[in-house]
Amino acid sequence: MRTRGRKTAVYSLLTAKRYFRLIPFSLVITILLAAVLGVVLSNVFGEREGAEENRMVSIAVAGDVNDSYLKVALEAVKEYDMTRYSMSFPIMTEEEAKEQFKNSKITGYIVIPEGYMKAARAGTVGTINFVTTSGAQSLSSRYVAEMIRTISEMVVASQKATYGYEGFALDRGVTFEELKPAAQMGVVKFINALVNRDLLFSVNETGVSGASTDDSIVAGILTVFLFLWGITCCTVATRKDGRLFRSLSANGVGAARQTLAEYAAYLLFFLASVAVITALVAAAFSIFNFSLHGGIALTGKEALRFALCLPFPILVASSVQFFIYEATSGITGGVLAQFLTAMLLGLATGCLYPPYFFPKTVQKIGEFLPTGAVRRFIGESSSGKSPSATPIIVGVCCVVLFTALSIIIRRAKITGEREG
Amino acid sequence: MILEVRSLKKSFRGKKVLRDVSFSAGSGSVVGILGENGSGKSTLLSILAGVLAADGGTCTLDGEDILGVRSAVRRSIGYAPQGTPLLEELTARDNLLLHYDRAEMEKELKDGVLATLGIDGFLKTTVSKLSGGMKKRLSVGCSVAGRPPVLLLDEPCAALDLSCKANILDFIDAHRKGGGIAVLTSHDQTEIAICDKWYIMKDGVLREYVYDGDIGKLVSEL
Repeated sequence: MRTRGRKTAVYSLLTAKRYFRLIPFSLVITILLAAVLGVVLSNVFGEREGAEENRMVSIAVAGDVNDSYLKVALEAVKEYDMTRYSMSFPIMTEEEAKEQFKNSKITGYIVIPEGYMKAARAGTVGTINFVTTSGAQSLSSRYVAEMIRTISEMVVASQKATYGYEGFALDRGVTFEELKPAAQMGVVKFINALVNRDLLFSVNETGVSGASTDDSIVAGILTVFLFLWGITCCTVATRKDGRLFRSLSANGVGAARQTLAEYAAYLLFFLASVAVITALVAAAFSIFNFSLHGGIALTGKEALRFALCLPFPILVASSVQFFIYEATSGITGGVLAQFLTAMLLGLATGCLYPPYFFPKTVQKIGEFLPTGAVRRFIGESSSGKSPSATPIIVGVCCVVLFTALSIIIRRAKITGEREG
Repeated sequence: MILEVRSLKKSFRGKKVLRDVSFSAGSGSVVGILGENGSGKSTLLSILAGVLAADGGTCTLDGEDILGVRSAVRRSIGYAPQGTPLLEELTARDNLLLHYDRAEMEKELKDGVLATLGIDGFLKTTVSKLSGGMKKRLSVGCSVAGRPPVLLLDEPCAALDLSCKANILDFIDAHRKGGGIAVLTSHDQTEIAICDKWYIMKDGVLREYVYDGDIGKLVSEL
């Protein structure tokens, strides 16, 4: 006859065996879930990519752009500025610019007047004309107008310095050919230093505590996936036989031991399933070279990077799922409860919708919900940072709380009133 | 060996299920607890098996209190609840391994209680594919791991065909002949017939009854 401890261990292994018999069913459901969430993810990124392309502001540069230093300055603005993804400065004639503006192909155009550079050389600020729609008082047109004013001043300032230095050097016998590369480099460095947006302002993305927006979206979707995953275990997890529990209890495997043994088996199956699905996803990404906008490459490495953050979130999610199955009865009730819990918790903690749309109180509460802790943990650890203490503490508390609740429910099932 | 139950009490949400229940059983005896559904028979066995806590009273085996002493209960008492408490997705062998060491199981299958119950014929079959009789035999087989001297059997022959019933009754008889004690609840005439002592449970009260084979009289007493 087995001892109590061995009996508990064997019960855990046998329960795991019950779950592992579900692997084909579980994999199908997991792949379906992953596919649905993958489509959602790719649509989210697709929409953002499309939206960013649509938002790209195109300002044509026309007029007297033949001066070599001005060309260098414009190139510097185009190439070195952080806004290169959101703004373009095509050079064209004034007629071409008018035509494109009429056809709404460009937001506006600037005309550098004849002799502008000559005036700059003489140390005076000429006027650059910016043509745009009269009613364009949107944020982007104000931004463009402000930029042009700033660039104009910067270009003049840089030209003043460059031409001053040029005159000084030429007076001292340096040939123009010897001077030109150094002067051009000087302009580039000057402009680059002035227009580097990183030095002028910082961009706050809507990600979660340190994670980028992209990582945050992936973390949110992944969190919902983990909390929905419990559905794949429904056929075994909902089979609760009170007589078996009582029989086990009589044999020394009481409510706490039963619950912990079953939870361990559930957790093991969850980890194994996610490992399998990660391997499949990583292989698919490696073979098909998926990539999304803005440096998000869906590579096998990327999938593994996220997978390595998952054991702790899986521990938390499985405790919630296990509790739900313990508290409900029947497949329909269990699956429905899993689905609703995942969706509602996901919504409340910003996994499905940006959290800043909710009142501050909801956002604060969300941090202390299991999905909030999991989302934050994945977001932080997947971005290469050490996860902060809050999600870990909240996660551990959730595991303890939900496991304790499961034990209480199991005890009630064993000792509750019955026929006979 | 004497199993002695004295003044056992149990209530569920204020409803008294067992009222000062007392009985005793000696070595080599089979005690039948008879009564209608809901009379408290299963609750009594659950308390004796250590699954439920009693509100009062004692239960001793050879003078040693066994209520609330899990290790003693586990060693001395085998409990087969109503129905078939088994892991349905797994094989009969897997279910036995939950209760037996591998070597012990092989030995019992060869010439022990598991052989008496005829379990070796369906060891590798998944439980969900077994018949009701096979499941019941397996369930009883699981509950007697370690050969406990006291067996608590809750309706062991309910809804079984004649051959399965005979198989289980043979096993109970062998247990009695081996000096063990069996306490069983029953509605079944053949089960009642193999008992040495009978008790009727009615509204939580247990009283001794002498069964003389007249089933009509027994029914009128329930």
